[in-house]
Amino acid sequence: MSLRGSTDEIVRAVAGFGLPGSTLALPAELDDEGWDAVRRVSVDQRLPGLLLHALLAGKLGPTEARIETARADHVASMGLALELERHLLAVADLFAASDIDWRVLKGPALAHLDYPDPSLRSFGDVDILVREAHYDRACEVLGAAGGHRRYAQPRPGFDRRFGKGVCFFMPAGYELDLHRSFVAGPFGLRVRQDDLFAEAGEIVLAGRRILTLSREARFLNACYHAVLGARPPRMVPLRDLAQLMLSGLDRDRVEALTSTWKIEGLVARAVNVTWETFALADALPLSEWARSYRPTKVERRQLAAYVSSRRSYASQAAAALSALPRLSDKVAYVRAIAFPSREYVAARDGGYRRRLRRGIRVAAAVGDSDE
Amino acid sequence: MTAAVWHRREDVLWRRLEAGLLLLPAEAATPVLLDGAAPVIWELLATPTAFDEAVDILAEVFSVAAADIEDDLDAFLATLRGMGAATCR
Repeated sequence: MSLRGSTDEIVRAVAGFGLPGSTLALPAELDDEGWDAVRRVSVDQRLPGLLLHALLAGKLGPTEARIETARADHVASMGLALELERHLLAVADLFAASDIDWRVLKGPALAHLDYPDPSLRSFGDVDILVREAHYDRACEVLGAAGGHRRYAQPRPGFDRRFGKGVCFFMPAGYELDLHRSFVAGPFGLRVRQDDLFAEAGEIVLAGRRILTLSREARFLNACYHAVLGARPPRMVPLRDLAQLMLSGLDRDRVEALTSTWKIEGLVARAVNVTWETFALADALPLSEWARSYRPTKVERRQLAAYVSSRRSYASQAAAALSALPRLSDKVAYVRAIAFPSREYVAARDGGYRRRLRRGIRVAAAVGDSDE
Repeated sequence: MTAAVWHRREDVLWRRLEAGLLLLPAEAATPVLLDGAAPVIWELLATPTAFDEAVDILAEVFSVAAADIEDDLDAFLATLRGMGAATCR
């Protein structure tokens, strides 16, 4: 196979294609086996727009057949994006009728605000952040519209108070992630909603204004997504992060939020992973800071709950306790995960026996966190 | 030929792609891909544009005689209106 590197390395270069300062190089030629693998992984990683542009730039052995295939993948991906934007507008109508304050996260916001061309950013679901005070009402509205929660919440009010959010399967056939925070666990509990709703950006879809997070809050959301999401990190959130950084951020605002939320270690890790992944040569003040930042022992331990090979829901749940300042919150949190509703246990753990095993793991992780 | 003024409908979701123009009008069941001159015409219709003016601009852009494209443009605009993507007054 005439690959100049593995499929993963080529896909990484596809994800970084066109990024100013990226020193990654794409091969000019690629055999059919290599192409099939790169195409498959690129589509799975939601990179069809960048793959097509790489071919059109003369990379990856750009035969007419490959260009046509990549074009079709791109059209399909953007067709999905438009349909999801239509669903987003339907949700906007529902929430407007119920006076629910919300912001659209990730895909649609980033595509329209942070990429030079929205067709470069694909997405496969709809993510929405809702104010805590409106969270239960938002769930009711989506339920009344025919949405079904993937999981019940452990106890009534848990999601609004402690959770990341919930995924709804909507009758139109798409997934809607209703967020209270960016992630579960300690880093999710540090997100201060008032900061997220203090400022807003906006996109216009079909003539309608839709509010997004501010640019700096989108950057922090991308940091969370890049570092605390899938392992290994998916390419799109890393590209998002690079796009946001390279097109300019209010550094004072980023530092203020990072400091208030106590997420310096997370942000430094996200920036470093992005710089390494795309082999970015240009140094920005934020990338210089990230490179020199030394996480504390506590930060390392809390990050490990998400990113180590031993990461688990249990370890995140245990680590979350340290992020809850009040004793009453700690008690409510432990009670909810120790004694969840029967509906939650059945849906998530498959019964009380499995729940008990998981509970033992939580207990063990709590013990670890006290070391 | 006509003084009709055409304008894209605001409630259309769309993307300009390398393959053409992808439209999802409010009443459409699925997105529709239009290629050829569609992206250029869509840009023209961002503001209300008289048919004759559109013909003149497209003739200039594509270096063809206005008379050669009038029928094609008329048919294309009718298609846009039929799918709920443009209005004419």
